Amino acid sequence: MADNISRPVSLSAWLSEPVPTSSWQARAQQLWLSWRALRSNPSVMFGGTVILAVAVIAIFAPLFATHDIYAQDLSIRLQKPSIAHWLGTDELGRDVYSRLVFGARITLTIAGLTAIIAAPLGLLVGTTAGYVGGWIDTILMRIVDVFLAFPSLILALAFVAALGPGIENAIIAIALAAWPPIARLARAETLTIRKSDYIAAVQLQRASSFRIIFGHVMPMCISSVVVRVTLNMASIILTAAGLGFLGLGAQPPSPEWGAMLSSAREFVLTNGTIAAIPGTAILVVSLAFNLLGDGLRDMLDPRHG
Amino acid sequence: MAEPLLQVDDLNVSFRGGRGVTRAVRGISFTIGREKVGIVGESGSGKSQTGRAILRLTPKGAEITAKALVFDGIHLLAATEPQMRKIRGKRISMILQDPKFSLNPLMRVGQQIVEAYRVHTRASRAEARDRAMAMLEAVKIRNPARVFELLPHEVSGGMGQRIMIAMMLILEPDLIIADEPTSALDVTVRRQVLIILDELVSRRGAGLMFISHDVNLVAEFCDRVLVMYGGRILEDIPARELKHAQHPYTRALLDSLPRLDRPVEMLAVPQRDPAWLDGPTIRGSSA
Amino acid sequence: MTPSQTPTKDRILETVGLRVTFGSGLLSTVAVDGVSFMIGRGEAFGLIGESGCGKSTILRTIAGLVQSYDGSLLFANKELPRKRDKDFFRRVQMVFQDPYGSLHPRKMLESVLAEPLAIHGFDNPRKRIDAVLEAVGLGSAFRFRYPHELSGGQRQRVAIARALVIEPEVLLLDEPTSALDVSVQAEILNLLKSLRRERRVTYFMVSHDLAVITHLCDRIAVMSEGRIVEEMTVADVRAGRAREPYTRTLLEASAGYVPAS
Repeated sequence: MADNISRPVSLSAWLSEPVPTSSWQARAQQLWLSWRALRSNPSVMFGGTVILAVAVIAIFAPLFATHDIYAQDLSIRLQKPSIAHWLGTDELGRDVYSRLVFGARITLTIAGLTAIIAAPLGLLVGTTAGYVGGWIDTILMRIVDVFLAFPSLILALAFVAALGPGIENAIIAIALAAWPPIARLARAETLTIRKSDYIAAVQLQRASSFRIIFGHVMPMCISSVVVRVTLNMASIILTAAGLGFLGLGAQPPSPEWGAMLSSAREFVLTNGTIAAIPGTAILVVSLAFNLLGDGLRDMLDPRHG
Repeated sequence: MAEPLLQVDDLNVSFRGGRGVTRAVRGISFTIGREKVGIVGESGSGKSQTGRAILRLTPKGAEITAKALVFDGIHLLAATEPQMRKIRGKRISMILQDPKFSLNPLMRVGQQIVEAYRVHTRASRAEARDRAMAMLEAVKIRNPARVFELLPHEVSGGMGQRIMIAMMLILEPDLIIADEPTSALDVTVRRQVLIILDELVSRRGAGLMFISHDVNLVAEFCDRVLVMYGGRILEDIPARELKHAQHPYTRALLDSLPRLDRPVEMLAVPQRDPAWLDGPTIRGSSA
Repeated sequence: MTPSQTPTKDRILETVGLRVTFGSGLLSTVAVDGVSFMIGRGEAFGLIGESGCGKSTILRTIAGLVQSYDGSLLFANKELPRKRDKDFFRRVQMVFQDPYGSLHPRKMLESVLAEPLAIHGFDNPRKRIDAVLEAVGLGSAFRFRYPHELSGGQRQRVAIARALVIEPEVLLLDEPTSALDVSVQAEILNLLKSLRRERRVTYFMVSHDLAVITHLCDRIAVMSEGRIVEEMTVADVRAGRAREPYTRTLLEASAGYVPAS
């Protein structure tokens, strides 16, 4: 209505007004309530803050890095951390800190793109199979079973071997290994949701299956899929690092953390820090995702808490 | 009159939640002797939390305070957890609403009754089994030996509730708290279960706190009725005088029910007066 | 046995020998065992029975939520196909028992009410939504609320609004007040009664509470174990004129608790 534009109201008052006067205001209020709930959960805040920090570092990597990540200087190779090189130098004299910072970009890109590919695909397949049932369900779930029969790293290796090494192919490979559990999860949720009265009510309005799946079933599955993807992030990052370690992911001289770990392997006895550092980075980011996922799960799905 | 079994004075139960403190029970006082007392109210009136507070079985995060919460001379709020465990089941027991959820689905029902018995006594397994069978007969289960071996999902609602009663009364407690014991049951089964409960309670001279939302049922089954609203007791009245209840909320509750014998065009909808939330308790004549 | 046969032209719903079986082989149970009855246009018909007697199954089968059944279902004297068409759903709607499960948790009320209008191509959705929210006693400000912000009684009002927004001829009611508090039940029953008068809708209600059913309905059928035991008018019920022993037991039990002497 027109009258709440003429009265300037503070944002917090607008958000806590008991009776919303527009759908936009109602949606904003719900988002704000969700934000307040998130804020009160220590796991979510800690994990989320760490990931946000890593994301900021990744996005503004050129500002955070101190040296050129490709500049080699064999005279200063394998040095311990110093004022000039905050985390020391690697076997080719490159600054470890700057490479770590740029490596964050790669790690988060892999994590993000995998999620963007695997989650919608899993959600679509799972909800369709669960809602429609019958032979479509059988066929889709048998395809999922085939994918699930392979351990994810082996599957990713197989895809990369077929597609060739490189970071784009690594992303596709990992995503192909990550979507089946999400499909399974979405299907399980859909089977429960399908029996609800609110679905029966919309079936009684002669809504098409398409409308029901996309408009009614999927919104209910999204929270558990988000939790699952977040908790899977750690294993996605480790798989990416594993591929990098084996030389099948990002190719040298790319500063991917797994590749850094791999090349540091030979020098562990002389200079342990250059292996420990990317390893720690992988650990910290995985842990942050796990904590975020745990916290989200406690908030969104209290049954598992 | 003899010393009451349970004395409650200024009981408060509050929860700390996201939006501040919720006071579920706000300063209620009442006594229960060896009689059937019904606590009636709508959802949110605090009646269930009252029952749970007596046994200290409220959810985590609940805070219980009272000037006095005394059962047979024992101060329940001051008791330690081991002391409470000795009281629960043996001296005060609780019958819950739906046997589907209150019986362990993985254990045979007879075994659950035996376990309830052996937790508090040093009886041998054979002795406990005999007692359990005797209880199953006492709740009018016709083939106790067969029912003993059944799993909870294999028994009907009414039978499950009778098993629950057997389990809760096997140790002959002095006070029984029944939280909506017949709400999940069909109307024809309800009466059987109530008859059994009535018999067992009066035979043992125990006290019964019958929590329900069904005013008519409580009026017919209990000796005394406590009407709760918004965490307070609005009226404390002998059951037979309920028709002449004085508090407008009690009257409104009675008038808002559709009745087979008194058809009306439109049902009277209780109008809620915020003054009731802090008003005094109307206590009818006792005995 | 039907005390009064409704003339054919006035019948809006009819079941003939309806049989619904769940499961297969050894595990099959017959939920509805050859049920025949008819409902007249504008009537309020109640089906009463205890849990497991099959009454909800009949309602859901009529609504089209149960696809495999034997026997025939007739709507306005025409046999209904197994897969109902859009026209049927425009003319028949349902209110569910559990107010906490019948509204989509993530959808704003406006979206819940706009959807059936959109599916059936009604014009002027804003006006219709406002009108139906007023009619159920909520008011148009509720358009922007979410279900979790509403009480049980309010949710049930929304469920009724959703069913009525496309102006059906028949309303199927599955124990609409059994999950509600006593005082809220009175409000909802009053609402249902006045809406029926205003809109001339046919009600088919299922319940286990005899007092509620006799308050709202004109004629009832008593069900037990998948079969209709007896049909009677509400006047008969109030006078206690039951023929069958099961009906008599039901009437007695519904009259209240009488201690064993």
